[in-house]
Amino acid sequence: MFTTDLKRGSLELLILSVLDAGPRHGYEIGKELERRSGGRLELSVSTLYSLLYRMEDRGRIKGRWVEKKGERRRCYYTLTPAGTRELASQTHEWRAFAAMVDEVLGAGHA
Amino acid sequence: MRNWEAWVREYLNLPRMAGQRDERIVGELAAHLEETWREARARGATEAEAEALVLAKLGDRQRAAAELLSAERHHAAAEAARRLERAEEELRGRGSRWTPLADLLGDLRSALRSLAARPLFTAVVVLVLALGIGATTAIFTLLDASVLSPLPFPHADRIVALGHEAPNVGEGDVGQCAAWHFTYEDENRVFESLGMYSGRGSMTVTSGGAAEAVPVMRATSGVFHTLGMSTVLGRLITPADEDPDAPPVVLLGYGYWQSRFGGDPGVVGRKLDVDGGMLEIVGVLPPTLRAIGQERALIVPLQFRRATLFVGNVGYRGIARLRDGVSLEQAEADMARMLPLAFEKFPGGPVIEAAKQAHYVPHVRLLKTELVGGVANLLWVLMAGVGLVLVIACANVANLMLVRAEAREKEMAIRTAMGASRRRILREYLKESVLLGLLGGLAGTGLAYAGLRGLLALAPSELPRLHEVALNARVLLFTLAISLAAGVLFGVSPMLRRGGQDVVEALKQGGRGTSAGRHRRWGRLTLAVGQIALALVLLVAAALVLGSARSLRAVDPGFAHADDVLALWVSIPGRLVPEAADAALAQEAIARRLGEVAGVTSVGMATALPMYYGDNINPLYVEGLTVPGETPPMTRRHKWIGEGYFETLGIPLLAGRSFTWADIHDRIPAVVVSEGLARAYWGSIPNAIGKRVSMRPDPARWYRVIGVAGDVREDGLNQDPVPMVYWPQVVLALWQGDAPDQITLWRRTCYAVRSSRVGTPGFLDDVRRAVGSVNPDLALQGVGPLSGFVAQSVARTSFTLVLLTLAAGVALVLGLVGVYGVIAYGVSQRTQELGVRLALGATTGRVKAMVLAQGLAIAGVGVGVGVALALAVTRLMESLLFGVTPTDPATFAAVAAGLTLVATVASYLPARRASKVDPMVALRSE
Repeated sequence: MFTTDLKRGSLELLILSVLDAGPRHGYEIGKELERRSGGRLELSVSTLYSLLYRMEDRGRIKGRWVEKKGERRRCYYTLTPAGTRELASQTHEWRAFAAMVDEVLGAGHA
Repeated sequence: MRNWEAWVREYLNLPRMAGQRDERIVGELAAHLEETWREARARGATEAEAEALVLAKLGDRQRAAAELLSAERHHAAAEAARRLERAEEELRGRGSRWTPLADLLGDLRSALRSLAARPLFTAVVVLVLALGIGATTAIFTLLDASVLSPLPFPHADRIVALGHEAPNVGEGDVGQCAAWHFTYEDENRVFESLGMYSGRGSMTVTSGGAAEAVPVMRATSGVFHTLGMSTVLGRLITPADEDPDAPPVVLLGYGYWQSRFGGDPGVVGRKLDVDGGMLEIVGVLPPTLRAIGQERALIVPLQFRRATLFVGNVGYRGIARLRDGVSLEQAEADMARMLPLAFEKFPGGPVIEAAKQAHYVPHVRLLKTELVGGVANLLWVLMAGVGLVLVIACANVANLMLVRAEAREKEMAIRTAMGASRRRILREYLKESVLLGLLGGLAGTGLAYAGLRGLLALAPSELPRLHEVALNARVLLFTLAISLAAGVLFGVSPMLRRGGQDVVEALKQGGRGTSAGRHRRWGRLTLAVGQIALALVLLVAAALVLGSARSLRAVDPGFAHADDVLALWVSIPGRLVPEAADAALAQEAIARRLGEVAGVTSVGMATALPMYYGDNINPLYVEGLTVPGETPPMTRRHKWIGEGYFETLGIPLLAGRSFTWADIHDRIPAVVVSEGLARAYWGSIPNAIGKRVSMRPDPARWYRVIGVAGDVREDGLNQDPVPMVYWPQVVLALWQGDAPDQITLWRRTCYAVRSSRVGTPGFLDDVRRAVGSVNPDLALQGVGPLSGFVAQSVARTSFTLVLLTLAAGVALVLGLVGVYGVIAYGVSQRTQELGVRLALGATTGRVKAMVLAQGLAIAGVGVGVGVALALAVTRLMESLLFGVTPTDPATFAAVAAGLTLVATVASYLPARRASKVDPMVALRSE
């Protein structure tokens, strides 16, 4: 669908934006990415979780075990303050970049 | 219901991770997949469809596992960094006194981070350093244990070994004799104490009907006094015990006390049946006796009647403790003064004439030098070898660092521009390299630990004090020091090259094409040349030892098929067979019984076998050649043999015949001599037959030469053959002063048994039964194949060969990698230039040749420098070589040519890449 290079740079931003709405566990994050992308963004579990762990190591999100009666124990991820800042700055950067790309492409085809 | 956790772990083949991480990763994946499965089922999918969906979510299993593990490594590094950060903060919170330590932690953290970001670079550097540091540590451990550390005795620097030699009659060190010993004891002005011992021989301990031969040390009480030893239990030998009429006593060696008596503290006072007599155990010695190579089961006093002593019967070992402030030379001078006194104090004796004419000169060496002597040289050569490997490894790493420094040029220039001091910049470079050095040291210590086990298995047994070898505090300190030194060495290299470089220039051009860039290039070239040069030195050294090993293999020892000869010692104590003539009959009986063992083709007997120290050394009088009182008789080596000796060992009889048992029991007045001896005295082999020799000058008792045997390399493959006199096992009136019917008979003899069954199971039992059938109280002593002695005699060469070859191999690989790296880097830097050349019409062949020429130039200069270096250092290994000179032109030429060739080949890969540069791509990137 998209080249891996293109995805790699933006996945972190997408996950940050999913978590902006509130804590979610890994399965929900995957589902939400799929839903928002209209099924065009489907991640393998290993890609999803290794990315989550790296983001946690960088201090942008935080995972916490939550147990609910009668359910499996789940790890819920929350944005940290650093993550919130990162989301803002990356969103800004991405928008500016996308606008620039649009402009360039638009000019070419005009 | 499926256990998803177990399934995930098995499907992805994940290793267990530390603690909660394992639970977290496996748990989350399991939950995710389970929910995927359940949701699919809820939507109405079949089990098979749900399973397919789960597998699709996992994707390729190898990739999935790799992805997760990589994240995990990242996590571990992050976790370590966090911990360091917390420690750093805590230190800073404690006040300014702790700031330097906190800064250090900060440096460590940033260095770790930067190394973790480049795992391949880090791994290569750590591996290269580990090889160098590991090898150096391993050899240093051996050196430390056997050469550097003092003997485990108080004031060991004053303990000396006393020896005597008589160069003008061809005698090397003969050791000590009782007459000299007592003369020194009475008359010396230089020794605090002195002692004498003999560490060879064995005694038979009988208990509960079982006879066991155990090694014995015979010593005067002064030995222990001189060494400053005390007992673990009981008392030492006293001067009173040295009286032949004193009640017989024995000391136990520590190992024997442990193995035979289980360390029983109640052994003192018990009696032990030794050689048929009851000896009282009076004490137990500590294990430190091993340090002088005397790990003996029993220690008995040396006993002499002074009235019967004479100058002669040398072969004891003398030791002494120097008085404070006395030098070795002063001790020698005092001994030289006393030597003539010995003839007055102990006149007479069978060899007094020869001893007077021999003009013995004393020599005194530190006991440690005596024990470690030749091996120290070997270890230093090896140490130098592995030290070179370490230097090459450092040069290799320095090269990598130079390349990296280039990349950081701009960063450093900015730091300088912002006001960072030179010190701060140095710190930036050093923190990473020192950490690399330490990591290399850690890995190297692991390698050394593993390697030492192998080394100890290979090491020649003459390597003293092997049991003390250990990775002790001093060794670890040494490793730490060389790791730090290595880190600093390659850490400052970019800084040195940087010199007083212009900051503005660096900022403008990023270093490329500037004068600093040229400096760097020269730096890299110098390092590559240095690596090749050092590698050549090691290769030459290894090739010389290889040449020696080849020469040794080609050497004819003088006997044949040592693999098929079993050697065993049997001694016939006087209490079992009192009469000498009967003992000789028993010796023949043993030989005959051994000959009846299945598979045995022949049996020989002698007082000592080749390459097994123990020949008698005495002056030999030759009729018509040595005139008593005029010509000093040359000292010769002597063996007493039984029937079948030459036949069994495969020593050719070149003329005449040898003795039969019948000759021997008839007291035949005849000898066999070796070819070398025959030629030395009578010019040719046939001339020797019928000539007469004697062991005593006046009146001589002549023995006629009836045979000449081939020369044998008695002292090892790397030593010259020894002229030898072979006497019949039973001889009459041999020594000066012997009555005409006095029999000389050696009760401890060595049997050589030739059989293709040597080394096969059951053979030894058959041999033991054969000896026991003559007398059940006889015990076998020191059994082993003759080939073992041969291997032992070249053990030093084999050991050196293995180690130097390993060192040279590592050096070669590192050196080639160095050349490759420099050329490849040069090519990558010159991509544009090469593109232009190709665009302007240079052929790919030309470009290839240009790069290859560069490799050839590095190799050529490196080899040139290396040859010069090698010529200077290989002469240090002269004593380790055999059959090749240290400057053997063929070896040098072959190694130089070979190294030039492979180094040029190493630059072929980058050359090919250079010729494939696409001019368009190269030019566009400008």
